[in-house]
Amino acid sequence: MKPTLYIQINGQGYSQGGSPLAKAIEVVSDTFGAEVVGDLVRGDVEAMIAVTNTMESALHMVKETETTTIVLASFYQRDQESAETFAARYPDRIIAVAFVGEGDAELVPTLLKVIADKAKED
Amino acid sequence: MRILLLDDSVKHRRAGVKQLQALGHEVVALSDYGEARKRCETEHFDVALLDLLMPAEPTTLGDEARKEFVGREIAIGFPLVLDISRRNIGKIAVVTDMNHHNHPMSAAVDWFRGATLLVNGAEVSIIHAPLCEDGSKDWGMVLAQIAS
Repeated sequence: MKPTLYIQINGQGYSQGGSPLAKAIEVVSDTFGAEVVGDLVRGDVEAMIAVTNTMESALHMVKETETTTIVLASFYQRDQESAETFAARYPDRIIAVAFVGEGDAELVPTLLKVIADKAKED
Repeated sequence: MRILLLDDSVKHRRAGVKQLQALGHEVVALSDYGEARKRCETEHFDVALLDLLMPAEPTTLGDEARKEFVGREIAIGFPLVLDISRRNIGKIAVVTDMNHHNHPMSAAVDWFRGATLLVNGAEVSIIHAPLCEDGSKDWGMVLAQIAS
């Protein structure tokens, strides 16, 4: 079964068609073998992976789920340090990365690894 | 009764919804204290059952404070009592499952020893959670304690 992945990108709420960034993550995730889902939790079933861009959403997600791996991607370098400190409080649950960074410390390679790991677990 | 249940743990919330609905109550289960405050401003609850220690939320915090505090457990149950007791809620319980040897705020719960306090007209209890066999909080027992 494909790992399920939920995307919530805040501050990108375009009136038509939703966030282009969310769409891009959706395409990349699908290509990497994940199934993008519309709900973080449906009934008692949690998405295996969640991607968001704010600490507010990541904190909410960590409280609403027990096992979901949350990828917190920051747009700006200035947010990265806070995001990493925050993520370190939930080492088994939250991974903080930059949307665009260096090497493996950016969203796409991280997502690839998380999806592959979840696929193996399953 | 209409009951507000606030706890950051999925396990405790699920248990609470199941237990309290089985007793015939309507339950609004939340994980964010900011949302709980807002809901109390606009909705009526007969009872509020609050976790003591919850992760700090980012609202209104500046950059340094966000880095320092967001996600860190704080004893938000105490100020929440002072706030939501102004909203005509009859009974409020602050309930922790943290061992009193492991956290100073849980140790402070010992001070109250089951006493009922009157705060802004609400009856308030501050208690250590009775636990079910699976380790979830026994909210039904909590409700029975504060109702008696």
